[in-house]
Amino acid sequence: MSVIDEYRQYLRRKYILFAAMLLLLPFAFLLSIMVGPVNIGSAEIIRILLGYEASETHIRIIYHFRLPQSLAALLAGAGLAISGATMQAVLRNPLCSPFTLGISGAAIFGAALVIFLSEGFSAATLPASNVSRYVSSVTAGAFLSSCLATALILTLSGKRLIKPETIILIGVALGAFYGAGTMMLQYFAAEWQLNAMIYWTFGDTQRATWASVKVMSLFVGVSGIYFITQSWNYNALALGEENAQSLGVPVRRMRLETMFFASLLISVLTASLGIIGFIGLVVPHGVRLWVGSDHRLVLPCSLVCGALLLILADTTARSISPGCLMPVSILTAFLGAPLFFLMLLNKREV
Amino acid sequence: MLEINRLSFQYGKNRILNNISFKITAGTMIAILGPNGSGKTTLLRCIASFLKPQTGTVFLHGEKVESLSAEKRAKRIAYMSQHTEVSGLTVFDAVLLGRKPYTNWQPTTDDLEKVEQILHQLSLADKVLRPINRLSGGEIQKVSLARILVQEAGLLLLDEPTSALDLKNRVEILALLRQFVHERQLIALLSIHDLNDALRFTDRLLLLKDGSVFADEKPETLTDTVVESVYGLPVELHKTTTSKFIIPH
Repeated sequence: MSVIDEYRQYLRRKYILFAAMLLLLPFAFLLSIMVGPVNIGSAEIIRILLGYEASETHIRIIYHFRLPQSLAALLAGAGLAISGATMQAVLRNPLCSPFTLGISGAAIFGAALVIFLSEGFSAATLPASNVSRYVSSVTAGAFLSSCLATALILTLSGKRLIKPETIILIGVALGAFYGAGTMMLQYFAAEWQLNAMIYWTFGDTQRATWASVKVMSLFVGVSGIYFITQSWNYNALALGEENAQSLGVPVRRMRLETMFFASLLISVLTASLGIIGFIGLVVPHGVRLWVGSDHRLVLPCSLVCGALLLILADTTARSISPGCLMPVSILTAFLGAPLFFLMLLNKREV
Repeated sequence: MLEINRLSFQYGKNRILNNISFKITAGTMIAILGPNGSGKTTLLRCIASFLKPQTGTVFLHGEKVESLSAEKRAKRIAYMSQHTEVSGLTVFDAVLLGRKPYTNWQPTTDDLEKVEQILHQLSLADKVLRPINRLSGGEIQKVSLARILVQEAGLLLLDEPTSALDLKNRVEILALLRQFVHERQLIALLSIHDLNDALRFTDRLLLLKDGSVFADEKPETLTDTVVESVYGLPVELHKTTTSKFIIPH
């Protein structure tokens, strides 16, 4: 067999693996719509989605709750995983995740600040018509705060000779700074505010609305396309900055653009759903174990695997105990840590 | 032709290169020699436009290198750095990256054939699917060399390209590089520590001392006095009918 045939056969095997993951996605999606306090059969779901007549209650459950929640899980999983993979590529550090740059800390601070400033009325006494406005303002606060952190980190990273390690350290410092700010707000907050602040940090797909799904799909779509078009550049960067530059990769510009898209994506996902950890760290590492380190495969596979993992985790979180809809972030953290540990042990080199 | 005109570079107040000028014609392999810290790597980085010199210009075939777009530069100048980061990319994928300046997304059959050919020439054909982080230091250096050769640039800049290779591989690689340079009329600048390799395989020797060109010699004209002055070490220069070699005291 010639070298080229051997290489093509290797690629074919990887593409088959990708296709298998892609095929699993619609089944996982359907399962996630089926499961909940009210179980709905797959045939009825398909009938409802195709617009045929069905139980009015089931139609309302699917369109008002299950569908936006499952779509949010799909989009957040895909977005977190691909941004984790790209952050690891541009900062050349396997420990990077979407949260390395302190963006999530900024989002928590922003949300906590809005909750803190809403003194005078509590969630319990809030008129029903104002609840959605209140939730939107917390989300907007989280988003604006993370955008501010993104702008700060991009400005500092834009300095000519800054190294990836320094960018990571800036992210760590920024995270600590926002952490301190949040702690201060929590210390001075009233009891109901403290509850609201802590509850907000749980990453939960039940918060998803059709409006947030639309915004998330726009950001996941645009960022995903940008990341995938840079696959070869990420491969070149894996050989070192100078080697990549010699291959025509505008290293500094690409790094800043990637950080911009990843940070914006994380801002939108965190502001919409709260913090969902480990997907951005575990999925890219798992994908690399299966398909190798070629970003032309790693990125699309991370996208699909991230979506698959979060949908399945969300479905499990919903069905763990009857009547209890546990936030998915608790499960991802519980599963993510041992999963990551197992992956590291299975790796020949750590 | 590569033309370097009055090139000077400094990091802060620390002057690394001082008014360097020389010309190299196509089909020449030139060794950049000198003790550690004499400015060899910085010179290569300035020529590749990774560093912007405070004064001076670099012309390649009459064009100013710094004004070339990154894409055009990648087609004309290939650079092999002293350290290649190890990643999990396969040997084939790492070498295929050399075709990146010519390919948008999907490599063509022609690209794949060029990679296959070079992998055979560098005896890497039996390791095509091996991740480069599972190769030895010498094999990684051969992969880097294969990558810059499939890049098909007219100017090759190699920073210590044989430092991790054993004797057999070193001789084979330098001979192959020399053959490439002469057959394809390329220009190759190698920063190298082994004077005997430089004497045997290169066409010209550029000896740097404290950031300046101390001597620009052909292997036949190099004297022990020049070597002693550059390295501050007494040496003996021996000649045979076919070659010259140096033994330090």
